[in-house]
Amino acid sequence: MNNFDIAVIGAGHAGCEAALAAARLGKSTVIFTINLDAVANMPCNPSIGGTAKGHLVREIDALGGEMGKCADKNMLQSRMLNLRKGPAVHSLRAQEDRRMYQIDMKKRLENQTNLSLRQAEVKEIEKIDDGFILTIHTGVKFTAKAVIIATGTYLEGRIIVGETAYSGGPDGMFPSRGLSESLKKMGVDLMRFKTGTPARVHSRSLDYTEMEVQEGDEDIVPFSFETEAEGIKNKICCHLTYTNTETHDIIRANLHRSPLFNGLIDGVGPRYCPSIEDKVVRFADKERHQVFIEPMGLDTSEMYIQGMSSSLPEDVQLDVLHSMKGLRNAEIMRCAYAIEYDCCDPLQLRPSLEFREVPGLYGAGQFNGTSGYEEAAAQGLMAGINAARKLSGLEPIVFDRSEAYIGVLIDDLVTKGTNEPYRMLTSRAEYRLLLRQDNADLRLTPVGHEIGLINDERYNKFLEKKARIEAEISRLRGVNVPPSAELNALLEEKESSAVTTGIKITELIRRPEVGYDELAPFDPGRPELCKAEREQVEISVKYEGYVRRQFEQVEQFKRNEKRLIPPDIDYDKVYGLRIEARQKLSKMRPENVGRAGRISGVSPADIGVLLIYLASLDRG
Amino acid sequence: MSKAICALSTPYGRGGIAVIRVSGDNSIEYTAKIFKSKKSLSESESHTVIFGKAIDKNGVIDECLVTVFRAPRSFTGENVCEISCHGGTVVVNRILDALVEAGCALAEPGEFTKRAFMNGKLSLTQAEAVKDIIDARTDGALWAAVNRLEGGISVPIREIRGELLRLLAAIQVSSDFPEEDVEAFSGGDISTQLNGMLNTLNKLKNTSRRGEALRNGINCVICGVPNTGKSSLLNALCGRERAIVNTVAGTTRDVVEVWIDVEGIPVCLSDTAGIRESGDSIEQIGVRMSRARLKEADICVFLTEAGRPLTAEEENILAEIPCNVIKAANKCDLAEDGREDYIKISARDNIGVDKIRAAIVAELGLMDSGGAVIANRRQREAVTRAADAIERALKSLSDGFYSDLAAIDIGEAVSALGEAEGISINQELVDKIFEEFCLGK
Repeated sequence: MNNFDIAVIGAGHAGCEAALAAARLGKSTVIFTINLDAVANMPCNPSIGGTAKGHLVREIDALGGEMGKCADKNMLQSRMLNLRKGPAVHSLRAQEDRRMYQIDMKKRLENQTNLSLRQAEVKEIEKIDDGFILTIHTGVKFTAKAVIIATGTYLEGRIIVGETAYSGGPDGMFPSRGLSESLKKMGVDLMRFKTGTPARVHSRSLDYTEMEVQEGDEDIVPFSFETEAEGIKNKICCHLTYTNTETHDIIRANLHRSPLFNGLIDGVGPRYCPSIEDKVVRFADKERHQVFIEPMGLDTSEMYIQGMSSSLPEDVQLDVLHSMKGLRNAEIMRCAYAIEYDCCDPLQLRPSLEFREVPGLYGAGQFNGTSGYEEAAAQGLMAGINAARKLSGLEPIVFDRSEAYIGVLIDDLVTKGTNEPYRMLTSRAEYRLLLRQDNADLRLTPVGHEIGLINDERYNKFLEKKARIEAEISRLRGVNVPPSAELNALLEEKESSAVTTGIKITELIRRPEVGYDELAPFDPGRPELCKAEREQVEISVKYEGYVRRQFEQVEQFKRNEKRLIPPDIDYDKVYGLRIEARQKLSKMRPENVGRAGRISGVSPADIGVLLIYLASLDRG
Repeated sequence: MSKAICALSTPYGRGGIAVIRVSGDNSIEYTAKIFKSKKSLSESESHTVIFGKAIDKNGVIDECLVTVFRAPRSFTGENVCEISCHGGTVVVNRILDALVEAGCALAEPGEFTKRAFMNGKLSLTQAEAVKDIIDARTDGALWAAVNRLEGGISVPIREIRGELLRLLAAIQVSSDFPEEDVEAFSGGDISTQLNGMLNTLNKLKNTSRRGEALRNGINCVICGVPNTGKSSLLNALCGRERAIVNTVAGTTRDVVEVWIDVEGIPVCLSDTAGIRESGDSIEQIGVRMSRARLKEADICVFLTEAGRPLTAEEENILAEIPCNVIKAANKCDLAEDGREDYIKISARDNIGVDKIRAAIVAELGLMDSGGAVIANRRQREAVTRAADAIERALKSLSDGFYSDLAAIDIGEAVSALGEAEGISINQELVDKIFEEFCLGK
């Protein structure tokens, strides 16, 4: 009865993807959560996506994950960020109805065959010969052949508000107590991280006339490649206000009461998502910071104050809010807090997210030292896929840095480790022009299909789309546009130089100021394509030279990635390695030379030595 | 465990003092076996010098000083002894034989440097510099190599690489945090900065000519019709009687070659037979050799006589010269000469000879700019690649493309400079380097 193939501990964004993937790949799966009403909760901002995170959501979707579909369904407002920059950094971000998202995701779990959803706190985990025994708070035992830890910020969670601190999980939930000890006994090294969230205030207490309105996009691009874009509308708008010198003065005057500065918090916080007190201290010159007001849902008056994450005492929080335009009478419904929690050192993980020293045990999400729902979901999906594949005797799915943001994320975690909650950034992806959000399906749907999470129907549709795009690109290469008054009128309007002779249409598209769509009147043979397909065609032609150069860089990069290191290599025999490198390499046992070179503490000289040793092995 | 190796580190057969280097785990123990001293070598601390006598089974070989370096604080990162003995082949060979007897192996070419590199003691650039120090022919070449060993070349490259990384970060921060109102770089600012860096890189690239000249030397040929004083000029340039000088036209029949130091650059100076139609068959062979020499020359000093116009034969020779030419009129002590494009000299009286030296360097653009120099093809290729990438980034920006696209090329420049500095590394690079070491030295 209580025997499963795979057990997932935690039903946040990582746990949900992990459990769905495992169950869909035919494994009997159980997912535990401390509170069934907290499934897929967004304890921080009520939004999905953002720069680089939007890329992750689209990749999750292309591989057959759930986050994109659920986010599309419960979207309140959608925006494509960075539209004034190049296509590599366009990123989708959507405000979500937090409660509806939870209910929807819970339903998706409930409806999934092979998947059992259990409210229970897992207190103990024990390794046995062919798997694990899990003991829940009531003393009942479960067995599983593989276990995925996705405990988010619950592990030994501690809430801090000013001078007040207590044991607790996010959003008023109970923390998980005891599991940390049990993990340590199994040999898992834990670290202590912290993160925080701003206050929620009552909508009626805000003066929106004093704030700027933030509208969503008119033309909405959904996250999921399966979602029909037609008919999707924004349901709400957000607002923008600013901190001011008064705000900063209040914060500075009360810094001694902040646990981040008075020593009450030991955990390491995210540099990329700093609290307001952090921002005021570190960027002392800046006169104001942006503050966004975001609705938590359609059926609630709770408003999220983005940019004001804080762990100052509640009375100071209130003074701070009241110092800003539009928030003079703000009424706090939930105050801002910081949370400290246990997470693992991800350097213990293989690129499959399995613990090197505990076969069958996987980690995903904030437990692996990341921050963000999307980073969590991406790891959950991969952990679920790889745990299922392991039980089926298949090789794990591992993306390299040139294939997916998911690959960059996991490679960074398991190779370089992290000393703060890790956030995905476009700048972390070396080959970002290839890893665009718009081509996530072209990159990954075939893999999703091969894994078994993308059905034939979707795959065939995808193949047709791909064929249409390729056909159009090759057709365009043969199209010449004769000079004409109409064409030059268009070019003049676009501030582009006029043409006097016939010109290849690809040449025109390569001009930054000219688009594919605008040239339709001069291209009579053009087939009818949907917006996403036209976008692919345009990007492929316009950025051809850049794309080619990125491919050349990828070729270079792959050379060392393909140089495999024998799994049984004895680093003591590699003459000339420095001691630190020898220790790191022996401990982390990288699969290939590329990864070895990215391990901190391994120098180029060490890699030179390693390459020489490998060459001598080849020669026998 | 690393086998102890030994080799003579100073030039073979020259110099008053020779230094034999021994490196490896047992190097101190093995050296102690052939060394008799009051203070114990085996128990000596790192970086100490001990006086004693080198011995073999036949008795005392020489009085020497042994400097002890203990791992990892040594050139190779291993235990090292440096034995300073008296120069000369007999002493050196006997000590080396004794060391081999004691358990050492003779070092392969480049093996010390290779070990130093493998122990993380040297960057690639530095490893290459060591090779150049060993091969240095002039003080200028030696100085350039030492400068690189100390990271000289790395400094400007590292600086530009740092600036590029900062620029990249600035471009990327506005992409990663579009909702924070961080001050984004405008395309113009980026271009200004990139242009500055491109300038520096191009200057650096130009130093590669001097760098290669310092490494490989240049060929300079003195030519002209017979009896213009070519041999006298050669003697004046090298400061000694190297070539036979005689008033009989056609005295020089063979090519006379000598290495001289011209402002630090090793110059291989060749005095050639005067070029003329001659019935003398031996002289004709000399003339043919003169012509062949001209084809290989980097620069040529064309010598005529002051106070008379060029003969038809001389006009022909001038037209034949395939490389840069320095024109000089000899015997200016005997006749006035109004030609402005000729350097007036008197080789016999050593007048104007310094102007020839300066012209050799200036004509080839090899002036010492006082800074770091690019010394080899690998570095030049990498710096060129970086400069090209920056040019592409500038073009993207001026075409009106987004700064984040320019970032792709800026990233490429960063990795190219990393290679020049010896930070990035790949299989080919390692192969290339070690190929060169094993064949060299």
